[in-house]
Amino acid sequence: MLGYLIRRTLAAIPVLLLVAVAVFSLLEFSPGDPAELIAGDTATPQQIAAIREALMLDRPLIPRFAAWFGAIVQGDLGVSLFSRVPIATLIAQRLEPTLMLAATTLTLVIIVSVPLGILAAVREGTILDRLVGIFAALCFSVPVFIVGYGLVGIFSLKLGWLPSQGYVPLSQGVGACLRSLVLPSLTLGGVYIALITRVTRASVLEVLNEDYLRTARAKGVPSFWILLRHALPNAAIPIVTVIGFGLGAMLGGVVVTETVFNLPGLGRLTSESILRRDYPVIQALTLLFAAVYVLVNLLVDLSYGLFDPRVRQWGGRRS
Amino acid sequence: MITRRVFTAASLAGLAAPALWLGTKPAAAQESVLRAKVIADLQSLDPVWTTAYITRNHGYMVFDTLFGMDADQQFQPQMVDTYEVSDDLKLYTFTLRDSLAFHDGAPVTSEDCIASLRRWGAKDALGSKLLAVMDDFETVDDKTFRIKLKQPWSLVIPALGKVGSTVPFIMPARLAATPATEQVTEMVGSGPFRFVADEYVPGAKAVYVRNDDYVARDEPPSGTAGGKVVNIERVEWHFLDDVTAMNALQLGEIDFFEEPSPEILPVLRAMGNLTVEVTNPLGLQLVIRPNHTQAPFDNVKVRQAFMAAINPQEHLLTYVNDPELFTQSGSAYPAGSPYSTEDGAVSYDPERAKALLEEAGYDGTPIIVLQATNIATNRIFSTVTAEQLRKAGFNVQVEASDFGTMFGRALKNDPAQPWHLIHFANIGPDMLDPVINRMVWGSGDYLGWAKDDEIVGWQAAFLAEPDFEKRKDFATQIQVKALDLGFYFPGGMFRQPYAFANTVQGVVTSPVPVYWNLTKAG
Repeated sequence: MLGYLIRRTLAAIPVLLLVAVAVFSLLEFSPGDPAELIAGDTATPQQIAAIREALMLDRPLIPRFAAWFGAIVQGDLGVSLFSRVPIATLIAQRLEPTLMLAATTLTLVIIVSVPLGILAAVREGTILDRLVGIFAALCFSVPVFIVGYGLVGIFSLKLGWLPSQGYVPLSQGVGACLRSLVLPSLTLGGVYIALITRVTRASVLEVLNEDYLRTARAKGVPSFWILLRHALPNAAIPIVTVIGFGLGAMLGGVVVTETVFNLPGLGRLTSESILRRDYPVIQALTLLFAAVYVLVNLLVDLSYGLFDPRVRQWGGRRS
Repeated sequence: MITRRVFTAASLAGLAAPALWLGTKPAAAQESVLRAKVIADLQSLDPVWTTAYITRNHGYMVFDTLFGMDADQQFQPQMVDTYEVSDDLKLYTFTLRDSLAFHDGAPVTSEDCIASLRRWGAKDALGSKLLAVMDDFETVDDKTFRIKLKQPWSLVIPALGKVGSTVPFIMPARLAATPATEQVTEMVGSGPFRFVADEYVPGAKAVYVRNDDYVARDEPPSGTAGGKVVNIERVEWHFLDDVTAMNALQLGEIDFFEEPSPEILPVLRAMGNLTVEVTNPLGLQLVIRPNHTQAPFDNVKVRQAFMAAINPQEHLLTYVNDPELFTQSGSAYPAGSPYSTEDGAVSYDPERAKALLEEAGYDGTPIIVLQATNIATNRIFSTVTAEQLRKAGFNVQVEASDFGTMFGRALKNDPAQPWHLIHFANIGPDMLDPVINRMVWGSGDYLGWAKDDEIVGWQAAFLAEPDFEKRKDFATQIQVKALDLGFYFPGGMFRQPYAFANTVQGVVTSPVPVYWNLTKAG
């Protein structure tokens, strides 16, 4: 297993290198110039050139890439072109809301969708199965911002139970923090509940028809124990894979939810930086998200060992 | 062994734990706090380095200015106590008020003012014009300094009190020594608020606390002039989506909402606990700027045809949807402002537009209208313009992108990627006279590249003229010719109200949002 871990970690390095090259190149060729945006419409070409020089944007591509990558490798993510705040600080400021939102949403999603998916599989073809299907379709179809504003309309404006926006840091109380994340989690969770419910249902259905489960039933093993001890572990791998994908997406791509609920997370930071052409921030965030995806994939792969003893034994390879 | 008593006690404790966790809200702060939704996300803090309006607004919180502009667009001393102007308009002597001090305790001196003005002049178009006609600054003593000019220049005071970006904020000399191409990141000013750097989240939140050492002028506030008395201890700026802000305002999660988008104004007005009020009567001007360097708009007849094809009332109604919130005017200078006149204003005449197009020999070359989809005014105005031009016989293509891409393309002016029309919504203070209003510049060096030597001459004469009525004549001449040559289409002024809780009082009528004089009950 240790060898597998080391191999997977080393394999991430060329991936991250490729991502670094790709994002740097793409930004270089994308339209727009941060120096022009900073200088404004009355700036002379000389003033724009001076700003470009001050921001080191006038240097050739390859030396600029080398300098940037060299700094990244040493842990220096650089500073924002616009705020001059160290990017590490910007990320640190936005990390807690993003992680908390991802954690609460994922918890909610797993609690709701796995049992729902199992129920739908066990009750395949019944009205319950169809209702779960309709529920999942609705969760997929309704845009996130409509769900968000709808929930605000009910729980904040009408009932006054929950805040309509804003993030309360953990330092101000776990309860207050969680309270500020209830509606955002419900909003963001919808799509993932739909996805994981459907994957769970399909995966469990596939397993339920296996011979060894028929044997277990014939031997008189209770249905609940069959599900928990035999079906679910064998159905878990696709479910865990999709959960991992969802976690990766939550950590970097939830701009709409963050906007609707005014959560100062990494998603908004990314979209603001792109619109502003804040190149160093875009580059750092892209690398960060790539690293997160690599890490999440690694954790997912490792978790397979929890469910599949063959993975534990052979470390992912058959000898 | 777990006894029944122990088990019961543990269960009760377990049931009580969530109640302790949930429902804990931060204790109500003792200080008064005002939470505002601001017009844009505050990314850069240096109001000289960037022209972003939100940074300019931030500048008014933290810094102070030598002069301010009052509600009647007159310039009044602010940091200046007394000033003298020589009869030949070539020597200005300023004496600072007593008790001016920066947030680090250092007194504000002449040296700080001079250094700040030099830095501002290196960046600002009007400031650079001032520096170009200056002989030098002269320090008389710690509180008195002079501006000596090589020639008469009528806009010294308006330049020092200007409200449009870039504002000549006064910084400590050590910070003003920073080249204008680099950012000052240490926010030490002498303004009515102090910036709380520890709580700043770029793009999301900025916090200001009252500067208890600030000595306000003993006058009522008016615009950016007058007494800046701060009654609220803490002001928080948040950048939210408009609908989110609307909900938050209704619930009391925020107290102040700068410039809600027009479509939600009826909803805000219907809420019983809010005030929706225009506090910036100057408003913004609809600007449609042609590119004089790209065919067919290098032909004056085609530009005149474009001008005649525009009905600005449609633009304003489409965006603002409330006739009370706009003023139709064909003047280059904001309606009601000192130089405003309807002389030379272009009337909507689509038949004349068609005739002019024919006279110009228009061959159907596509007219490219640039559109920034993430800026509501630009998106809506450009759509309406495209339709009106099509009706007049133009072949129009709207090319949409985000603002950054649109702006970059416009500045590059690459013949391989031509563009013909671009839309702006310029704040009133940026259009007040023919020197500040860059749309009527005849030098050919501003976006759109309109050029006319006679206008350049009149502009210089305007600057040198001490008499207001004569300056007004020059301003009118410039307007008449600029509009005739199709420099740009001024589509009138529209106003965007603020919305705030009824518990908030004392909102100052001002062309920029200001947070002094406000009180908050409860």
